[in-house]
Amino acid sequence: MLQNIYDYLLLWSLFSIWLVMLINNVLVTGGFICYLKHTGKNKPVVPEEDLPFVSVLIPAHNEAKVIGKTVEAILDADYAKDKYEIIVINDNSSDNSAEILERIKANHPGRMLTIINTDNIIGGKGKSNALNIGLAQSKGSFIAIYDADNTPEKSALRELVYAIMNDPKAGAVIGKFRCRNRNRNLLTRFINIEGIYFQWMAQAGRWQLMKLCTIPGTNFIIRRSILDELGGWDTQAITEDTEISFRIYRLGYHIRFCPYSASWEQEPETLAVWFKQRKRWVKGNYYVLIKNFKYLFDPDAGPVRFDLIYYSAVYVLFLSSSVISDLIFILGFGGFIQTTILGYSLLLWVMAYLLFLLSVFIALSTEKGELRLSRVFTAMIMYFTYCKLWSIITVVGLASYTADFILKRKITWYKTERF
Amino acid sequence: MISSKRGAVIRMMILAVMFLASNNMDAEASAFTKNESYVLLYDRLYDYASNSSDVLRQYIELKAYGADVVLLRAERSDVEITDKKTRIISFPSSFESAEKYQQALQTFKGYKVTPFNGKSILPAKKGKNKGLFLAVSEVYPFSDLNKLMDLAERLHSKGIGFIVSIMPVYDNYQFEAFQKFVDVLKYVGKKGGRIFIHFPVVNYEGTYNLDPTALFEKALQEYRNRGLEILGITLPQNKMLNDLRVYDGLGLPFILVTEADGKISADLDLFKVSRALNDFIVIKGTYIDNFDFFGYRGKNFYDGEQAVMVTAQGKEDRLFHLLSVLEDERVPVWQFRVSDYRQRLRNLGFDKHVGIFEEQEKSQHEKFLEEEMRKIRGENLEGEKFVQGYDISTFSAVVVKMAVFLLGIFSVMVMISRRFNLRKFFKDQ
Repeated sequence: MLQNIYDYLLLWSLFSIWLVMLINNVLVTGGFICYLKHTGKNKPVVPEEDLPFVSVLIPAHNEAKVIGKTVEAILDADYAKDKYEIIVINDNSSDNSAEILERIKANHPGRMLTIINTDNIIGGKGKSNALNIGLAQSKGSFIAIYDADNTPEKSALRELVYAIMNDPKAGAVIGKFRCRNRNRNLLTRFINIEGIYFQWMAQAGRWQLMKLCTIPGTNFIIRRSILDELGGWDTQAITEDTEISFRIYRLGYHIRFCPYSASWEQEPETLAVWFKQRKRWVKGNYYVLIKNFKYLFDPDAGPVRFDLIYYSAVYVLFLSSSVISDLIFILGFGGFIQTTILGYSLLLWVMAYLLFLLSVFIALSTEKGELRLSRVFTAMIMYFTYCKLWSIITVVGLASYTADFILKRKITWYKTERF
Repeated sequence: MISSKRGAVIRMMILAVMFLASNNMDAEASAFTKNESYVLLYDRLYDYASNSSDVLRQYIELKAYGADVVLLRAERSDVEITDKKTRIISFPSSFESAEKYQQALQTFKGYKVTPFNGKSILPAKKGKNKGLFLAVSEVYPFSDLNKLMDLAERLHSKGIGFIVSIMPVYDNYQFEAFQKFVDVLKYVGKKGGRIFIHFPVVNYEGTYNLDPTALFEKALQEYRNRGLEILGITLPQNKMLNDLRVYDGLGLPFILVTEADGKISADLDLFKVSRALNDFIVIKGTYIDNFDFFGYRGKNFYDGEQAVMVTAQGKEDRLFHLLSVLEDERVPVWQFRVSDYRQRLRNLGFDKHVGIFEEQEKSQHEKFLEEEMRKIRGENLEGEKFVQGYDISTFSAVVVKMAVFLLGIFSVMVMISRRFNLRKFFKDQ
């Protein structure tokens, strides 16, 4: 029988890690099937004359370094020019974003480009608030969202519209975002693999198996009717995308995954920036988890329950177990603690590592030019480095969230620094 | 304080074994001598820079157990061995070349020559242990001579003979202190101290290779000229035979041999060796810090003829302290229990050994036997905490099998994606 607390923790860690690994492996398999099905054949389209009017919202706060490229890319979208408007919410920026935007607007007379410059009274309260301001001035029956650092491909918007027009039950459709600066350094290479594997393969798998997706924050389209019904974005949520996803599902809609639509975005190039961004994600997901935890036991909550289980498994079970098992390994190696678990084979660890690598290879194989030797090496060291950083982030994020809750600190939205 | 206790007749462990004791050993050694005779045929005693010698080891071992042994260098072709029962043991490894060894065998072709095979020639027999000696070593003219005299008086009052090993003085005999030193040594001699002289340690102009023979002879002569009787020499094992010339013929019939690491087996009874060699008395020295006094509490426990060594360079206090503990209690050695004296011994600075001595009260074998018997009788069930770990090998096996299955599936998936080039469908991206 189990002899001490370390035995229980070790066993719990093993169980949790393998449970989440198996879930991920199932999702990767589902994602692979999803990609096989989207091979370009029988892709749904919408006649040009039936294309709806779309409002593209771009929230931006001190994004002078990237906003010009983003707006230019969306202006250049392969979509009828009279059937979409661009609303840039220049949210309390202190840089020269306003000048850049005005210059772009001057260069494109006749285009529907609206620039909303907010001050720190109505603006400066985070992305959700900025989106709500943009939403209030928008006219489209569909709302597309792009982050300020995105460079959507020309067909990205059109593909999103095709998908949502052909699926009446889709409350929103998400495309993919890819790492624009993926070859900048080791960190961006890690992020690139993370995006392909943990974001898109997992999204595709969940879509394939459960018709379940989570809005990623950029490169997605949503029905205006739903936003009106929901009352816009939750300004308390710092991961507004996850939060609104849950609410869409509870209205009875689903969120569709469209692998044809892709946008390229700039990812953090330094650990400090990465750390702040991921900490925000973790804290935001804890907020969503806690806010929606009650639906875990609600039979009417639908597939959202899987997401709740999945997020709980990843953010609570897996990452805490990863930290615990690492600590037990280190302390046990140093002779500070002792466990009496028998039959724990190193083979288990080797298998976990191999499964991780192969599933990453599968994910990489779905993206053009990604399954190559350098990526393989990156994936091999990712397990020991980047994944461990995530463990730390989870602990730090949880501690910070708890401190915010106890000290009743106002949750602030951290804007990712651009390069 | 010390003199007030002179009258006490106390039986203590150091007293129990007297200086130059045991007549029974002679009888034992001589009985062995009559039975066996050996000739050890060799070319060189030591290899260059070697720290040990098979030839000497075997020679000393045989001598230690009373065998009649002669070392015979191969170049001595004029030797005739008359006793046909004599065993000739050759040491091939001591010869420079195979040719030289073959030449030696030719010389003795009329005899049966057995090459040494690395195993001890000696029959598996050990001698009994005999006695314990006390030696105060490294006594210089500038040592604490008052303390030396106190010690001498104290031991004399108990009837204990002891050795005082003095250092050679090579020069500066004109100082009055030297004469006083000799006078103190004479006083010590009257109190039962046997004066030995330490083998010369000379560092002349930075070299240790200076031949010390002349200096040593001079130093010895200066002591003797002043009327000091010097009986023997204290020297490390490795110098006993190698540097025989240094002290040979100087009238030092007794030898106190101190240890040299790795030279000669620690199991050897050097007392017997020396007696068999040429009537010298040879004693194995052990410094007081390393000596297990309490291992001597039973007559059969101690090992070898040993001298307890205490240097006169700052450690003599420890001997005084120990003696005072034993004198106060008047405890027969064989009734001495460390546990009774634990704290006091620690206070005296012997704490390093106390724990070890306690452990030695019962040998490992005895403890093992006792514990096993308790277990067999079921007496120690409550004392045992049976810890059985939680076995997850079944779980591990299932997970590994599942993982292998998944790895197979995933490998197929990767092959499919490569074969059909899945990426081409998304090449616009």
